[in-house]
Amino acid sequence: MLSAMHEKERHCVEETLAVDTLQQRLAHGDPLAFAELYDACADRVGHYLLVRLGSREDADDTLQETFLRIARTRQELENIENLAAYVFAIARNEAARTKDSRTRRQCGQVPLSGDDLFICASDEAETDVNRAAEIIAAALGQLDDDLREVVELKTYGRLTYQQISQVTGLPQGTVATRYRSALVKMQRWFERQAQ
Amino acid sequence: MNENVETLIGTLTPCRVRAELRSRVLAAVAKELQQHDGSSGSGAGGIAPVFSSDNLASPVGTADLSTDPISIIVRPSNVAPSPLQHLPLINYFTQVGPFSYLVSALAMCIAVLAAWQYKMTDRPYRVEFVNRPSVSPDISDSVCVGHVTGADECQWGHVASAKEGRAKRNTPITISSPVSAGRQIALDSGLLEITFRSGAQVLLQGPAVFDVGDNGGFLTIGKLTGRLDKPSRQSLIPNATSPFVIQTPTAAVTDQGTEFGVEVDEDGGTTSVVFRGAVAVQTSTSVNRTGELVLHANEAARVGADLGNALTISRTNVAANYFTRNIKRGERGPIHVFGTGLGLRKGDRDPWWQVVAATGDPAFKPEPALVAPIRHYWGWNSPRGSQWVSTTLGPKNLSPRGATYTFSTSFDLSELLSDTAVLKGWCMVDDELIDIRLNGRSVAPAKNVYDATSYGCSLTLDEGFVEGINALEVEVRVGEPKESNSYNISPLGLRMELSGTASWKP
Repeated sequence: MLSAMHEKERHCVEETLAVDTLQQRLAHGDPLAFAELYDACADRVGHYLLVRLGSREDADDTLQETFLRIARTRQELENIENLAAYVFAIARNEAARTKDSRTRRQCGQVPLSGDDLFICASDEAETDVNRAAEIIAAALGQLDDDLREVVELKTYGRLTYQQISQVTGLPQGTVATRYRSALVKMQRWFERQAQ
Repeated sequence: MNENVETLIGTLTPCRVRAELRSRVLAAVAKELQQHDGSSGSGAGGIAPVFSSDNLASPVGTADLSTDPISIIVRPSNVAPSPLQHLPLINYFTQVGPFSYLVSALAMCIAVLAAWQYKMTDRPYRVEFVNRPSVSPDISDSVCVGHVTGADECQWGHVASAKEGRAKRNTPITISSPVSAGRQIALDSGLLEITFRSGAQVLLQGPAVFDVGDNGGFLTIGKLTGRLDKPSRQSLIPNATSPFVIQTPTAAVTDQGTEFGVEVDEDGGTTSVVFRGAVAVQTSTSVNRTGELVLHANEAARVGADLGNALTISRTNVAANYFTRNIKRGERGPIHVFGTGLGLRKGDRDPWWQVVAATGDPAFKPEPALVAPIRHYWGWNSPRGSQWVSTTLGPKNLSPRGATYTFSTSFDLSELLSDTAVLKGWCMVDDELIDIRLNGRSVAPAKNVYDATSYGCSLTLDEGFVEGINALEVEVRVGEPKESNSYNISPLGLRMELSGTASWKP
């Protein structure tokens, strides 16, 4: 049931993002187009930023900065091949800036609680879902950043290999390889924890 | 905690950002848009409308700008002149002139130096690859399971390096190269054919990423054609008796004596098509399993779609010519023959080499050769080429002096013309090389080498091959004691490296 909901939602998102006129309206500075864009991808981008930055406050600020930067550079949108990938590429850069800024300020990162890590869209099996989210987040913490980022974009951003390739600038095969390697390492970590 | 990672990922549901964030972000965006419009506006002294967040608060599609209230913010168009503008020096700095260019250049230099100080290359979003084609590939944890039997215009991609934790370019693979289980092949373009010891063949079509398994492998992305026309005689090897299976992120395609194509798209969805025979297709995870589907000739199925979604099998249509089924072969093909200890670790039993006879031991039974602990005078091992092997008969691989041991391997020339075969190699032994026999006929070098450990002996065979299975035997003797007080046991070892080609049968 949940999977079917995801699939439906995903198709809606992709369909929405695939409309060429949306990019044109964004490029012309139509505020409603930005609202459409926000509704289509804010949850995915926000979730990615939350896991990436480990702080809900930073994630919210970075999400806002992401949309502000899209608004500032909106003239480029007409020439963008994949809007979702473009949004995530900007979010990724903004997240890096936020991290750098945090490092310069020497701010410590407050660990996320289970509720912070995941806010369920559905009440179904909420406990199991939160538990799964916590386990995955813990396993992600064991990965190198280059592997971890691919999993974050794939799992939380729900991007395709092709879109991740466009976001990160890596060859598509490399993205697939890293995702596969990351899953193997996470699986090994699970098995070690079980022993 | 003993969880399946893909199962766990499949249970994740979307996370919602805080509802109040929407109005905050859209208000900021609207302000940004308005500021830009205002700055490029036509009139000085005019007013510029700014949309408030209120009119964007409703879901997209229901908002109506004509009816929703729009707040108006009056922006002053005439900015009062700065009190500093009357200062001549300030004016000079703000004028466009040579000095201002100098100031700009200095500022740029400072910015570059500052960026250097912050070590921008260490930032997490900067990704660097290590391209070291000259570095030997990682040694596999498993045995050599096949050979590369075809390659056509291959361009190699990047594979994950377990040692360095980052991607590196795939080491080029050439025809006749042995392929070990666990090896990852990233092919950006071109065709690569791997023939397993079981007789199964995989034709990779770039771009593709494929992890070689014992008999089959894992296709992460891309296309391949699998074929298992007839089991090879060499499927006597234990691992080769396992079924020929191509696994993907979403499915497992098990061969049932056939030719088939598999494609994994960027979302992990798997499309399988059968050209001849039959295959069994099933989803790869236990969750949402919807059963198994057996495909016959000219049938196709798709398992989709993405991780986290329900995995379902459905029949589909795929054009037969969508997959490449044949590779342009050279005139000669490789002989599937393996060096001693190829791709193994110390203490492993060699599946390709056996000790089949020992003199002076009536109770002797044939056994696999053992990758021996290396001795200081044996020289280095080369796991990608060959390693020292011995027996398990004596303590610490020490064998009775005076005994002769026969090491044996076999290879199949069923698809090749035996009278065109050429086999080249070299060997080192400890203590004495007594004889080398091909199909029972002595082919030992003219000069009988007493102690080959220091320089070894080369070998080139171009006759004596037979149709089908051929056997190569090497007799090694543990020498007699040179002094009366020597131990009556001594190390026994053989290291042999082999490769060969022959013309394909018409």
